[in-house]
Amino acid sequence: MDAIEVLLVDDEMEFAETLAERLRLRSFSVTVASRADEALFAMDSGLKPDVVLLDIKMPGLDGLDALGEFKARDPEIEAIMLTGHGAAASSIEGMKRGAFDYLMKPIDIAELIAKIEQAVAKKRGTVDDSGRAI
Amino acid sequence: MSSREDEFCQARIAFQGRIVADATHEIQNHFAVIKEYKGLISDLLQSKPNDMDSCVKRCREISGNINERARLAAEMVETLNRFTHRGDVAVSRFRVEQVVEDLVSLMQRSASRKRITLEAAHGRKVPEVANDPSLIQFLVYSLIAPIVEALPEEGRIRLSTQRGKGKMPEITLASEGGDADLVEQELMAPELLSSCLDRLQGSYLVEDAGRKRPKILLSITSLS
Repeated sequence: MDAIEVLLVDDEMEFAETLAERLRLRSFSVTVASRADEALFAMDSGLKPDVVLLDIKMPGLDGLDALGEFKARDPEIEAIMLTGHGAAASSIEGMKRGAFDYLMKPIDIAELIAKIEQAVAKKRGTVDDSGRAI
Repeated sequence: MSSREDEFCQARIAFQGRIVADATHEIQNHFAVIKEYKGLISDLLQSKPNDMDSCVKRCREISGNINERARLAAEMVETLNRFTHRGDVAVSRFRVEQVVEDLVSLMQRSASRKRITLEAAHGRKVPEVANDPSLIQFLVYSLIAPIVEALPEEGRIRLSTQRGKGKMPEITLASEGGDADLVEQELMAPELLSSCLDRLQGSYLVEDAGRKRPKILLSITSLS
């Protein structure tokens, strides 16, 4: 199977770069962007991520608005919203707008990987919407 | 309590809430980064690297980054602690530079999220003053926050403190970027402004001097 392509969008660059390094150690291919418009530009330039990890609170286009832009470019892309404590309402709004799931920071790496793999399985059509294998 | 008094109290509570929310979010961010660094060290050690020397070197770098993040978190906690204690007594002696510096640190997150540079500069021999430092922070915040909202990205807000007339401290607020026409809309509600100035026995002046964006000058007096 091809390496899972992850696009990680977070304005806290030290957090994003460190998380990316941890995912790369687990054989994920990760591209980091500090802003949504930067990530969208990468997609317009040919990047085809399986999953986008999207911080909700960012300068410029925020995670919720960016979600629609990612989906417009690739309806199959799966998004996992990343959020700080106390922003659960925004995460739920993200789910309503088509995000696959959300995670609260600080993130548990094992939980993140499980969610990425579930999202990719859904995208690649190996599970149905309820998560059962098909 | 009159409705004006009520609104004033409400605005101060909301201000304190926003500052605490932003600061704790920032502290939580530092912890999230520290947790990732700690996880990365475990990952690197568990990956049984061939080149142990470069692994040790990388772990040392990460350890330095953890120390720096812990320092920033501790600094933010200290600033937040000072902020919350500013209102312990109605009048106290304090340095205006410190009060402004703390506020700038606490507002850094909301400014940088909009890519606005918020900075402070302090003149020499700014005198100490006996007044309400918490109210001064509220007033300065109420003047800055709408400008942060109105300025476009790459805008700049500069707060400076200096020794003013009568050897009393002054705070100058200047901003750059965006449309000068916005300035009128950016100023805080006049009732709120006059309530603050009455309590502080301070004064307020908008200096135009042909600038694209006028400067705001606050003069602080000592309360007897």
